[in-house]
Amino acid sequence: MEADKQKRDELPHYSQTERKELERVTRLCLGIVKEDLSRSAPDKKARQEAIDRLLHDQAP
Amino acid sequence: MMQITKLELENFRNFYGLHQIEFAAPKSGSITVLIGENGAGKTTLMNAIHWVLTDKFTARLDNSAALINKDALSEGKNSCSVKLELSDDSGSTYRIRRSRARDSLTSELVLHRIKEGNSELIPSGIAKDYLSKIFPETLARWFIFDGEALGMMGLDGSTQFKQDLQQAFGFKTLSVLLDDLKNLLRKYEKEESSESRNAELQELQLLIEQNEILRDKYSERMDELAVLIKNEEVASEEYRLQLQGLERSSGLEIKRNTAVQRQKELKTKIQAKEQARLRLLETAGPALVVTDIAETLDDLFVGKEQNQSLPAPYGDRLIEDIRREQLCVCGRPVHPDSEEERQILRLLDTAGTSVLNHRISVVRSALTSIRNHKRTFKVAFDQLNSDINDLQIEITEQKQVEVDMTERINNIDVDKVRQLEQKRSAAEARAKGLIHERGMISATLSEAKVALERLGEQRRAISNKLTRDSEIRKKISKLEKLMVFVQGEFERQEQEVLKVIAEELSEVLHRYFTKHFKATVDPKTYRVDIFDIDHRPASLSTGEWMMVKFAFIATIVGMAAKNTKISSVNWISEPVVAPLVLDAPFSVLDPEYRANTAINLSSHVEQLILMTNSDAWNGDLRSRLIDKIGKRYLILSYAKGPALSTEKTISIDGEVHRLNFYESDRDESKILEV
Repeated sequence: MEADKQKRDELPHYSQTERKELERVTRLCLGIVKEDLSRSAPDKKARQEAIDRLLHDQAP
Repeated sequence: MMQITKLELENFRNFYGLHQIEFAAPKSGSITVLIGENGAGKTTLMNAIHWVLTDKFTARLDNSAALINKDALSEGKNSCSVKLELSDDSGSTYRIRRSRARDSLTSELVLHRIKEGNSELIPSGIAKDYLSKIFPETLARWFIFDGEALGMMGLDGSTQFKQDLQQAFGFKTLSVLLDDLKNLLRKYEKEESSESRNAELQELQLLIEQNEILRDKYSERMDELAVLIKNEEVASEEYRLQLQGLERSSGLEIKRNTAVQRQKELKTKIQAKEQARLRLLETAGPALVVTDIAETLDDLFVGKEQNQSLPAPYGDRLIEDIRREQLCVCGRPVHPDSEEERQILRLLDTAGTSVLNHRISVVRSALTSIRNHKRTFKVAFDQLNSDINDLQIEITEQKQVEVDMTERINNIDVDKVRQLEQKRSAAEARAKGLIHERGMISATLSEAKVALERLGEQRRAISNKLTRDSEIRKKISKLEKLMVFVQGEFERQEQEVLKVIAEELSEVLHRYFTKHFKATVDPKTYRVDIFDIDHRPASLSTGEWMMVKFAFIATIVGMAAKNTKISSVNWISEPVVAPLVLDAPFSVLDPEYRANTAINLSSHVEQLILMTNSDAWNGDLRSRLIDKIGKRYLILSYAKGPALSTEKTISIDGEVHRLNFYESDRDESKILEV
């Protein structure tokens, strides 16, 4: 129990808006990954560039 | 979610010709039930789906090398195929066709993706990898399984068990995203170091990069090793299967030697029987010789009785009358103590009725004894002849086995078997060596990772002192923030998943078991444990474990389909949702758990393809699942020759259908929608 509490305290605390925004961006990133992984030949470099662009435009 | 829409078999095992099944769509009566008796082809149908998706079969499928229907083969059709149609939420439909040609040990895969009316043929070189993305092989563990083999599934927390679960929950996508974010972070950190004029930072960056090169090299080798080990394991398995398909002398020689040995035993038995027959003849000989004379004697007695040649029963009284009257029937006087009276009395002694009757009775008794002896001899003699005949027939059969085995042994390609055995041993040895290397590298890799952690900490400490308003610093901060969030979500999601599994399982235990049991899931290994009310490991019966395993499957599938009952997971990564295909799942369960398990499963899944026999179906299953049945099929069994078992029937909507047929043109199975 004590260990759990300590672990919880160590976790970053997000405001509701911040959490929502991070969640939204995470889902968008996951969408890019999933789409790329479902391709017959995934392109790691192109995928990371797409994530980079997304973060540049949208990350909080 | 993924759904199976159609299955088509052509000359696949016991399904001669073309057979098609269209499955019920999720939500509109999500269960497709296939009812067939033992041996009708339920396991074959389940394996057809398993094979087309994974190129593998479940352990319970007998003789998996023989895929092409025997009658089709004899008609010159040299291949069999299975076609499966799958669709997913993105609007894509996949047509997967797997076929195998005669004398080939590998299958051919043809994959089409249809989207918005356009059909795209996936190049054959990448079709296998592409298919593994649509339906990862590990998913078969949770979604296509043989209920009767459920006992083999351990909730034991093995590495494979954990990996398979993570695959089903879409954790891989999260893990790839985390790697991508780490790579981006590295890129920006390099840029930051090269732009800054801080010598310490640049030196640290250099060290980090050197360590990263080492780490990447080791990681790359680890990945290579994983592939190489897998390849060697696959090769070893392939050789094993090839060897299984080939005849090997050892087994055949055992059969031949057994046949030879049996012939010797039979010959010894025949000799013993022949000796017994001889002894019988010796002992019964005299009786047989006198039997005809005895019969003649008996006939003579009967004749004499009929002609009254023997003294009649009234002889004694007649003599008494003569003596009393002192007058013979001829009119001559018979005085006491006269010569006439003495003569009459001598006759009474020698020809009296009682004396003669006694003598005749003794002779007749001897005659009966001779007759009985003759009858017993005949029975024993016939039995011995029959036994000798049977033994001689068996000797002929065993001789034939010996000849067949010898012929097969002579036809064995000994060199090929030896080569395959050598190849298999070599593959196993290589896999062992690679596994050893992986262990060594794993330790070095861990050291490199620890060093990188430390250097990263030092780098961050210096970097944080640098100006915070540079563009790169902002990007790094953004990335770090997102990475922490994603990592946190990863952990949160994992915790929720394990919590849901434990709660759903505990709920099933609470609802259906008579004791207070509780399930827990180990967060490190995902091992499932069941405890009693005093938190001691519970002793579950086999039937109870089966129920727990079914509940586990239902929870996994239900969680992915967001159909859990007690609690749910707030997914950040989308889990994989596939239809649940179960073959004869309820025979392993105690009867009292069957209906409950069926209800539990059907309430968790979006699409359920259920294969069962008529007895299980006619029990509680039909009445409990009836509202959810979308499609029903019967698997009809046809056999050549006369009826061997009683006719099996099933009543569907008041109409009686036969499930097994005899006197058919061929041994085969057919599918009938009802």
